[in-house]
Amino acid sequence: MSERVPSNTAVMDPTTQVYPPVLEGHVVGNPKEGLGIDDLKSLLAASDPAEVSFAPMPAVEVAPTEVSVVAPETAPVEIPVSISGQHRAPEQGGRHRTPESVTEYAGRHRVAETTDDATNEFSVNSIVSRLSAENQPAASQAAQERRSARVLARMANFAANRRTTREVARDSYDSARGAVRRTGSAVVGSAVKSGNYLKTNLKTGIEADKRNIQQTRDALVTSGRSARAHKDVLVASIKSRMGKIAEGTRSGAEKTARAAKVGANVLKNAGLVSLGADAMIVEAIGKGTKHVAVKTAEKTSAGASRVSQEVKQTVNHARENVADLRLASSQAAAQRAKAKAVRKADKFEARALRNQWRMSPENAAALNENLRRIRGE
Amino acid sequence: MNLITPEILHSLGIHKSETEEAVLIEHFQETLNERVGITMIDLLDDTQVEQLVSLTEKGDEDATTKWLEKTVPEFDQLVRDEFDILMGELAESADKL
Repeated sequence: MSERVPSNTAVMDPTTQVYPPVLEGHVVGNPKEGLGIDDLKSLLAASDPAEVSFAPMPAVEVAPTEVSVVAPETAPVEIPVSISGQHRAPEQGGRHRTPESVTEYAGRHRVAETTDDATNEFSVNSIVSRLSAENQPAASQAAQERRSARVLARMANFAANRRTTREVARDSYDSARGAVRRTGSAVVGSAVKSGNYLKTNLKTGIEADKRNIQQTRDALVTSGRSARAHKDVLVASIKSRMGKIAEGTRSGAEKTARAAKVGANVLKNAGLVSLGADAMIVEAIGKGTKHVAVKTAEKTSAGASRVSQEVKQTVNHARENVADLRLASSQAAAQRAKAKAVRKADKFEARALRNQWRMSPENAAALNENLRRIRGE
Repeated sequence: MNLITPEILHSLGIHKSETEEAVLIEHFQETLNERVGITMIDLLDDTQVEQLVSLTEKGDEDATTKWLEKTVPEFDQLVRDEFDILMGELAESADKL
């Protein structure tokens, strides 16, 4: 609060050492406390209207904020608003989308980043830079930029609200399609640069053949079908190499790889060092067949030998067993004969004992002697 | 860069006004670019797509070609196949144009 010197009519209060408030334009009351509403009311009631003077406000020079909107030199200017805000077509994957970059996003809706003065198209950056006059102070420029961004966001919202969902979806699709085309164009350019097929083959081929129109068409249609089949195989091959392959296909590929590995090992074991030519493969198969035959024969011979040895051993064992059996048999027979003789001796003794009363003592002694001999006593 | 010429259209029995032929040739080239782009992007993962798009936007043809030769060595074969396929379709539908 300024301490403006009161007018000549004011008299300082000796007790408070301050001037009474004076209504003069910008009323300045007690510089420490200011002037309240009640003070004003009481002052107006007590004051003589004639003493109240309304001095005009001193002129305050305020530097005007120069906001200059510079339109592009060429008109009309269309703002290509690629809005894909809240509402998107179902096939676009939902209601919301993530902004692809910070510069593409303004408020709720996206604004296509297609800034290029050469194409006379607006974008956030280009408009902000145009609105920011070079002579503006830095603070003013920053405020201006914020204001411009807000205005653009509002305009984008306004434009978006007037667009149908179908239009928004189409814009997104067209944008994506354009990106794909630009990428494809670069790839085609590289392909043309790396080989002459695309530049010369078709034209020179047609001219060289000098065929009629129908023959040319037929040739191209056939070539196209062949190319389609080739492309399918090529894409599958590249995907397989890059690891982008379906699970079922991966399983099949792994089986094939395993089979190829087994086959390669078979050929390698057959003595084949390198592959590449049919003749070599045929030769390898021949070698492999012979190798297998030889190995089979060797195995057969070795087996026979082993069997022979086993048979020999078995025969020897059998012979030994037979000898043992024979020995055992002989021993058993001897025992049986001995037992039989013993039984005969016993029978003879029993009969002799029964007839003993009819023998003479000499004959009985001779018989007993014979019995003891038979029994081995 | 357009890979086909009015002479090629004539050899297929396609005769239009100069303007229509120019539009047809432009459409052919855009379709080829789009198909090649779709085929190529489908082969790449997100990181590779970002790299390719970045190179494309820079307009560095040599760097793009080297990147393609390193990442997808068969890219020229793919372009050739797409070109032949499209030419076959053009020849097949020449009478309807």
